[in-house]
Amino acid sequence: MTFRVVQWGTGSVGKHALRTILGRPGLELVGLRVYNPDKAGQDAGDFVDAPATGVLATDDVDAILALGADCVNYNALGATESAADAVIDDLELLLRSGCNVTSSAPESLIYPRVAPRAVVERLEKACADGGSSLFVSGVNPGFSMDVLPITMTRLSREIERVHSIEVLDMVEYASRSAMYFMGFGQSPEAPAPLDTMHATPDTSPFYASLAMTADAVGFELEDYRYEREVGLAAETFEVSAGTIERGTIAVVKMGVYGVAKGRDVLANEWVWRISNDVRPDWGIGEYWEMEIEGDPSMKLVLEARTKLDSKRVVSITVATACVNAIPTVVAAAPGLHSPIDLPMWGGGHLA
Amino acid sequence: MSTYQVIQWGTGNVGRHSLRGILERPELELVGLRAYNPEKIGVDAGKLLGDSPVGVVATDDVDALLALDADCVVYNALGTTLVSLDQPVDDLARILESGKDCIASAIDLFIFVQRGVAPAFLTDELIDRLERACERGGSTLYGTGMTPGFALDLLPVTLTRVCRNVEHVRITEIVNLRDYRSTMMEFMGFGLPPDFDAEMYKLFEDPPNSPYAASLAMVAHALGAGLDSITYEREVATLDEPLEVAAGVMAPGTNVATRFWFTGHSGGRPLVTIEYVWRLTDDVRPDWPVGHCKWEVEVTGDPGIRSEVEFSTETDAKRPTSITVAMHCLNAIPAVVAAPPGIVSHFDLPVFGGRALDRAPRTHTG
Repeated sequence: MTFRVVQWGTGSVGKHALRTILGRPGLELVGLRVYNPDKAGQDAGDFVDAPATGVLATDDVDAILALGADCVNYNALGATESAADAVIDDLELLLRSGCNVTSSAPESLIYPRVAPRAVVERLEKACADGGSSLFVSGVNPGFSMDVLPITMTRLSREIERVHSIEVLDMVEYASRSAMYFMGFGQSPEAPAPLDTMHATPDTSPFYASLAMTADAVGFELEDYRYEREVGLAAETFEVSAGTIERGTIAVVKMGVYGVAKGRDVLANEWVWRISNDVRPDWGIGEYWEMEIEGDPSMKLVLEARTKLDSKRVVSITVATACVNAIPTVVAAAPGLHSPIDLPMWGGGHLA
Repeated sequence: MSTYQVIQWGTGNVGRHSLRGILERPELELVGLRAYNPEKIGVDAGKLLGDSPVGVVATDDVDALLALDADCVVYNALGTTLVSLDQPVDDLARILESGKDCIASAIDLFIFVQRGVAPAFLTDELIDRLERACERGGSTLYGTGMTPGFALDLLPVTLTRVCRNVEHVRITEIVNLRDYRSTMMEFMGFGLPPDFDAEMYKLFEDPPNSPYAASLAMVAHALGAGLDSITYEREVATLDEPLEVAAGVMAPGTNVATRFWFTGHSGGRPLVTIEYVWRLTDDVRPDWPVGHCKWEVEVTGDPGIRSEVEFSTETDAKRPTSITVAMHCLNAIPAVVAAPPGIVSHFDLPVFGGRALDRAPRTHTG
């Protein structure tokens, strides 16, 4: 069975998704939505250095809707940062037209149970009207701190605590604005946009995994909290995005914790670094690790490597978390789906 | 919280763990217990575990069990499957026809029942019979376990959710059996000459019907591929001196470590390999992986993935084999009871987790 797919967006995630769709037997690219009018009319293959496909990029949404595709893979993150409502409008339009949607935005919809009610109701109505399904996912949330540890607990007799850690090396990656946003090169006393964002589930994607895991294993969370620790540069050093002065932030460790029965039962931690010399005890490299404390106790370490995209796996895994779901989402009953209410699926096999 | 009425079928290595799990979980209620050993018949389920009585006694009266009202049967009667599949298939058909869902760990190959993909013994006739039983009873059959059922299929497939392409998936189980007091050592070939055809190896002579065929087929199917063939290879390692382990003394020149692997080929090239490294000592073949009890998953592709999973438990000679099979069955109950009638697999059930038991944490480090 072949599914007719539209790729929506050609940014860092969208390009990976486009490449994945083009290489995948079972998926046929029938449309490509771009935002920049200068890119309209270019062949889809040109965006990923692939042979011409005959599918031309367009910025005409009506033309996309007229294709009657089985699924739109929506990766327009750039559009969502400034105009979150516009994304919901797009999703609503697509779903109402009868098109299924897999999407990496907005992250607030990854776990619909805890998503804003009004948005969920709007999109549920659109799914019902169009007989279509929406699935929003990334790699974290959407995989490494929810689907994976939850799947591990299928073997559990007792679960005392689920502890997941993401360790990422951002030295090659961080743009100047991202460096500022994450606090790198800042004084530890400086106000951190990250703290404001993650202090509440209303603005932070970090809590979706907590809610999914708590629901899946039956933890009734009484409380949650966010914490940030930082590691400071011992010497001034240079990275591609600028100079990191001695005494400023070179490593951030963020954690969100879920409390039940008066203790932490869920601990999700992120260690993002631009120096391996600072706080190496927090973890070095790029990996996810999860530990289920209980009986049996389990520990899983996961490393993913790609040669594409400055060798960083974040964008490609966000893309594949969406694209690989397409056959399952198309087959699902109409409505909003989360990463944990659909059955097992795997990644692509290139013939 | 919904509660589920459960019949436990079998009280062996896995069945005892399931029984204890059913009794200790608030959402599960034991309503019947099938035992085989005459000494267990008539004994209270709680007493079988050395605990206080619970008011349900073990029985070998299958008609009486099937007449009970229950949501689900947990079928862990591995002993019945070793001679022939006739008895367990009869049991399953009767359970399903009686309107009870059934979660079975006993028949490895039932983790993936797909016509034309499944191994030869899963004939159309057999599948038809079970499907009819599901239809008559409005009931669901789910086969699951640990290997297969989790480490060889669900886990690697789930990891590939983030892959753009997959060239090859290798799953390696690494176990050191040094402290394992088992009567199965000879069965597994340990302490025997390297060229001796141990009983376990005979099970592998027909790879497409080996216990690993279902996992190989399942991983391939999840990747959108079919398998042309399944091959099997084996290597053993010996020592020049005797080796003393918990199960006894292994004579010089006999097998003290085994590596065997099954490969599913697709389009003329290897796609999925399930590999076992079982050691009594780490002093031979340092080029083979070493570890106490772990699984490695290596996905060659983009992104390439390396993952390692380790388990530990204080029960069962510290081997988590039986308990994980049992827990996978119990944790599946809500999803299986909610599923539509028919034979289901990982491809049909949603992602689900275990249940956190409401008890104080034991002291632990880390």
